[in-house]
Amino acid sequence: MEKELVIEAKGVTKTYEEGEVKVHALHPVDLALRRGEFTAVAGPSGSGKTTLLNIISGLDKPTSGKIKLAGREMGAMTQAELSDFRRDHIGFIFQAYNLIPVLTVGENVEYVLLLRGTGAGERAARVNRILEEVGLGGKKNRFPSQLSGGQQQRVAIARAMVSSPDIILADEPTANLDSATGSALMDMMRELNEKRGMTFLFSTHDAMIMEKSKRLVTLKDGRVDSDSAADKAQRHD
Amino acid sequence: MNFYLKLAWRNSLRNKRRTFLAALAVGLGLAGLIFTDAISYGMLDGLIGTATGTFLGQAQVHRHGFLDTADADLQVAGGPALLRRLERDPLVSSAAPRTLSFAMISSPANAGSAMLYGVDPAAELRVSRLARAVSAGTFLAEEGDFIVLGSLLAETLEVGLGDKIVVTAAAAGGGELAQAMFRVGGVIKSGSRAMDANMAFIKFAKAQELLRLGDGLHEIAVVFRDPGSAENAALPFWRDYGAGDNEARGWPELIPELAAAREMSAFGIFITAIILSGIVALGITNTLFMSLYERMFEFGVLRAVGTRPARMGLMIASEAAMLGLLSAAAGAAIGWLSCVLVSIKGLDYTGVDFAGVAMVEPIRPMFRPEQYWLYPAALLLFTLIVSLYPAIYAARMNPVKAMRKSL
Repeated sequence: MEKELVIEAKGVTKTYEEGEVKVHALHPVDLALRRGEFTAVAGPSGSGKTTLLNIISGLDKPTSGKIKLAGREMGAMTQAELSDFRRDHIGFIFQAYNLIPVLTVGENVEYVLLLRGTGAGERAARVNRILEEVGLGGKKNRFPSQLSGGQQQRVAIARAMVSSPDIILADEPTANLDSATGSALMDMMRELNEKRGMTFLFSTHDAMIMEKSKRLVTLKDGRVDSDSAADKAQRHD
Repeated sequence: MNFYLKLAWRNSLRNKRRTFLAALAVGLGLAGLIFTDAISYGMLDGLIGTATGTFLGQAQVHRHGFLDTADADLQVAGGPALLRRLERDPLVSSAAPRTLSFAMISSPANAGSAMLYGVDPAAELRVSRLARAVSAGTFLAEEGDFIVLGSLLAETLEVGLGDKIVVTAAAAGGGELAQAMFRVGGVIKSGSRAMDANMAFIKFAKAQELLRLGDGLHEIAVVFRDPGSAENAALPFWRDYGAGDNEARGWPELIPELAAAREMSAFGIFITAIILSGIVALGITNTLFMSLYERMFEFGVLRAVGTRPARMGLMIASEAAMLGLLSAAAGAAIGWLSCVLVSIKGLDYTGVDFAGVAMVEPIRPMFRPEQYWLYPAALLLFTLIVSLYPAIYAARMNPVKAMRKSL
């Protein structure tokens, strides 16, 4: 039996207007992701990867087309509703870790749960559990500046996962890491994906990520150039 | 501690130098306001103290019309009984009876006009500082017919201690002239030109005899246990003692120039507060925007992970509140310290007249509770109000654009 759809993008376009010049960042793009997928969207700079992730997460609005995430149409939501939706359904991992420097590791991870109104006891338990899981059990009270780049990205992963969202969106998560650390992190995320069945969508141009992902979608000039899932389906046909 | 307050506190300390300088700049504004307030009220309090304490008293009871005419016949109705009642009144600390009339004073060398007061030296000691203003001789302490003259009046008459002078005044019961001879028993130097040039004092009983008042009196000077009572128009005191033919007036009515000066001073402080508020507004807004632009990416991330726009605004307002608290604490401390330091010697403007009253003591800052709760609280409130602009900016921030920006 096929798993439920987590993301359904249909005919999504994005055009930026810079003065009189129109830049078509995305031509009509269709993309569907099912629960538990571990997918990379790859492509060169300017291919529209980050724009697609921003639109899927509701951070940006498409010029046309529809996005459904966890069964909900995102186009009609207000800013506050989108904030709540992201809080409840999406985990983010950014290229530059983007932890809050004045919060400790534990507090950075806890912040998302705080936004959700989780009780103090449960917050502490979940933060401890996820930090153990990403191998940062003893570093809860450290500040981000006291950690290495790889450790900071682990904190970002813990922050993204602590609320058990429907999907984790990762924008070039290994771009600032050396290849060994990046590879180790990818292995860790893949393990979490397999253990917890959590859905991951990466944007990347890192060959290592493409290799370790289960599905690879490539973008070129704002269009889907190839999709390994579609290729596989075609081969089955 | 609340998570958001903790976040605000730590963010405030993120750039310690900037926070310190901003808090110091805003705090100096508050300190300036506290100091201005303390000096203004200190000066007016000193003037009021001088005006009421030197001779006027904090309140006076007269017969209606007496203050306009100084007619010897307009004696306080039921004067002696009213004086006894006042002395027993729980609001009143002390009361002193007086007579008052215009008089011509002649010496062998010259003649001059003066306000001649009949006073009870023992009662005056509790009501006024006349005895302390004596620069030569005593204040009617010796037995016999002595007169105390203002120093400038003594100069005009060219008389000194022990010299004889003749006093001529209109007596009660028809205005017939009455005359008596006195020896100069003392000279006062109050610091007030008006007093020193125009006043002369003789004993109360002698004045009653000279002006043919019987046991009558023209004025009762009152000092309250609580000096604020003199300004409390709602007290039944004014109705009780101002009933019938008499009138009871506090110092604000007796010297309206000082009351007006105080209102003007309050208005001046208000204007100062508005100017300082402008400085505070610019300082706080500038600091918050600098901090906001510096952390643009971070705010974008916070929005991305699900922080609602209103919560973003609240975060900025919390940081503003922290900055406001630091500024208020710094301002109150600097304001207090500057007042303490200035109060050691005071600002010496002795001899200068203000609103018709001479300053006889250096101006010392006056500590008022409002300076340390109302002004800092107003600063905090104002900080929160001006923080709305950056707070709304943060709340409306587009997360994608914010994450593209990084300093």
